[in-house]
Amino acid sequence: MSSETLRVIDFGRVSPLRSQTLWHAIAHGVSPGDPPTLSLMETDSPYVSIGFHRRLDEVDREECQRSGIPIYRRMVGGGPVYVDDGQLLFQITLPVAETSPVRSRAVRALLEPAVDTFRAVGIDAVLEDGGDVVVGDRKVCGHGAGQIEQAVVMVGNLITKFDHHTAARIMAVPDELARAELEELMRRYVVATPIDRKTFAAALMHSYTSALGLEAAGGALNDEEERILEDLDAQFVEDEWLSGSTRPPPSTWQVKVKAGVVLAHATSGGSTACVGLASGRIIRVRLTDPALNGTAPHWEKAVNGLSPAQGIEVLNGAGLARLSKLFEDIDAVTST
Amino acid sequence: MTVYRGCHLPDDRAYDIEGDLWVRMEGDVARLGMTDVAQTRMGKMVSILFKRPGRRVKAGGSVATAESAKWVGPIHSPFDGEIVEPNTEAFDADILIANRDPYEAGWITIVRPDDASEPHRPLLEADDAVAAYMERIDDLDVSCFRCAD
Repeated sequence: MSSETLRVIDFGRVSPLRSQTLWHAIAHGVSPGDPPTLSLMETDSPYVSIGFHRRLDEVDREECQRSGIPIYRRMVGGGPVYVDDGQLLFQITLPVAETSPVRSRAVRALLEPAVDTFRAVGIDAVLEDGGDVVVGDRKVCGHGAGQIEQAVVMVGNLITKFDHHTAARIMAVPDELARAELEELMRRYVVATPIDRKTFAAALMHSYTSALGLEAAGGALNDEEERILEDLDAQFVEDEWLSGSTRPPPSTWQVKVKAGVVLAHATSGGSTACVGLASGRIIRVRLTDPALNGTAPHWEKAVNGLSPAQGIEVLNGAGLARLSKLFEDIDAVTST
Repeated sequence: MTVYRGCHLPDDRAYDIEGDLWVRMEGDVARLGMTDVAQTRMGKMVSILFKRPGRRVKAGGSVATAESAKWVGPIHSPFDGEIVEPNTEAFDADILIANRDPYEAGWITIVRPDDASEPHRPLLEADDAVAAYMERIDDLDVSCFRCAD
């Protein structure tokens, strides 16, 4: 590390827009040799943050507009996420040359101090192989990372309370059944850790200074970062920036709840299969098909615990060809 | 073709070793792609956004932005120039194409350099590149694998 200090900036409560643009401004302002920066902030009202490559139509824009929830596109990865004042957002930003060029190693190195922080405040968190920070099998910290100009930035959050209902409500879903299933999966696999904000922030600073071998030093944005911040404030509300990717949607709808846990939904000709999967196994399933004739609960139970490929065999054996085809579609998108 | 620690290095192109990029001149345009080291470093690609044809790109600037496992990062141009043809169709058909076949079907984009003799960083022909790249592979402690397969 070429610097001897870790610049720490706690912005406190800021607007939804600034809770995104502040850390982007820090990243854009990085030059080789600059000190790393640990930044923290909370939003003073809810919004949706969508990953750099994601299609805007993954978010229920009408619902967001009705509820006065703005949408901002970030420059790091991951899907749409609901952010409110129950989350403390934190970021570690440093020159790209100071991190491993092997991306998985860089992410792990920057995320491990965050995991240490949870442990330091009494939460038995671990970093899963899939990359999520979990307690047991429940995700406790969202994160994303990337290279922005000359900086590498890793963003994460402490979730002190989580509004699962609204988090499901802001997502574009094929039908309300899928929304209900999504909310249930979120309740099962995303959990809040109600830790005192100041305690967590202090532990976070300690973890990152220890991991990087640096002394903490309070700081503020410099003039260049302030100038960049103004530009980003303008960019992030432009329709062109928000619109983002125009790639076509996948043939079968799916959303990831955490690493290894997805909800997939396929429909055709009056048949619907809405399937929750964990580690490739069906853990929740809702089926509709005219041929079921009141037997849906039986077949839902029959495929529960199976892989989609095994489910295809069961449904084929029962003569439920349309549902079997839907399972093929789900298998195709969830097995890659 | 040299293979070192599983990393393939075809001998019919030039390399920006620090950028983990290969370059093949085709008349007045340059076809660019990620090396085996780059696709290994990145991991399974989940998305890519290309700079559109006709757009200007600066040497060291981004011709595309790729995402893998919550990581978003740029793929750089070695030259000042103009984007001619991004490999959009191949990636639309198979987002893992650069993981499977980084040197042929998984090329990234074609650029028309303003001056191909002035790259952002040195471009080494394979004869000179192999030894330097082997050293980089050791420095990175990388063993290449086609994670899509």
